[in-house]
Amino acid sequence: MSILSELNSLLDGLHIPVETGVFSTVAPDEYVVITPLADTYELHADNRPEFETQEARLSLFSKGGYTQRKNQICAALLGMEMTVTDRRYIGHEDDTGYHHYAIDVAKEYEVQEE
Amino acid sequence: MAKVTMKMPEDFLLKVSRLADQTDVILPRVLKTGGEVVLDKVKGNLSSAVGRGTKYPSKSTGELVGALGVSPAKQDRDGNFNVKVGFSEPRKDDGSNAKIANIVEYGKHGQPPKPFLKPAKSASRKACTEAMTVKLDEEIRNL
Repeated sequence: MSILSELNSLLDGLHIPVETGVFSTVAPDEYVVITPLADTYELHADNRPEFETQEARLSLFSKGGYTQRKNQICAALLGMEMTVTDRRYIGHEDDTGYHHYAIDVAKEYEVQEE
Repeated sequence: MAKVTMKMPEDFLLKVSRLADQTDVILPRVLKTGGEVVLDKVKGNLSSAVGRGTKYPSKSTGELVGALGVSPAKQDRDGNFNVKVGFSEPRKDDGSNAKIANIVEYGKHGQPPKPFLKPAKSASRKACTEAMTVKLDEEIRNL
């Protein structure tokens, strides 16, 4: 299990078009792009970490009102025990007509040894 | 009734007294050390983000990376010392480095984000704390 797979399932469940990294197809009026931010071994007391903190950014683009959608996403994230480390309205892109809202999340996962 | 008086060693008391006097000098030095650790990470991340995966050949001049720096330590209204890692302004073309950095960090519709600040914050937290601890110990030893 990783933060990317969890976020993808969460947003699919909310019926929001989502892609990781870049939205490759023709973008709809509302969509989310997930960008991985960092994977860190923050929590360990010895030399062999067993958990890692994975962080990612959700960029919500919406041509309509974004507030309700933002609240819905945040509530779902918190419901999945993710930590919302930042929420920020980036601005309205006058050239494209999209509102841009960024939500940063983090969650601890057990280190997978494959 | 018996009475016991315990005295702290003179040299220790002297050091504590000097530490109190030198706080305004020591803290900026310690913060500068921590700020430089974060700056190196931010600079590395930004250098690798600029010009990567662009639709058209990059015309980067390196001005954005060159404008990165650490501010001198300043005291805020609560009395805490702070340093900031950020960009000097303005650009040669009178544009804003902060605006460009914001677009690189958060992206736009049709332009994927290339986060460099947030990952640097997460990745350098531990190294920054350790560097500041070492510097503070060094400063206290030198009192």
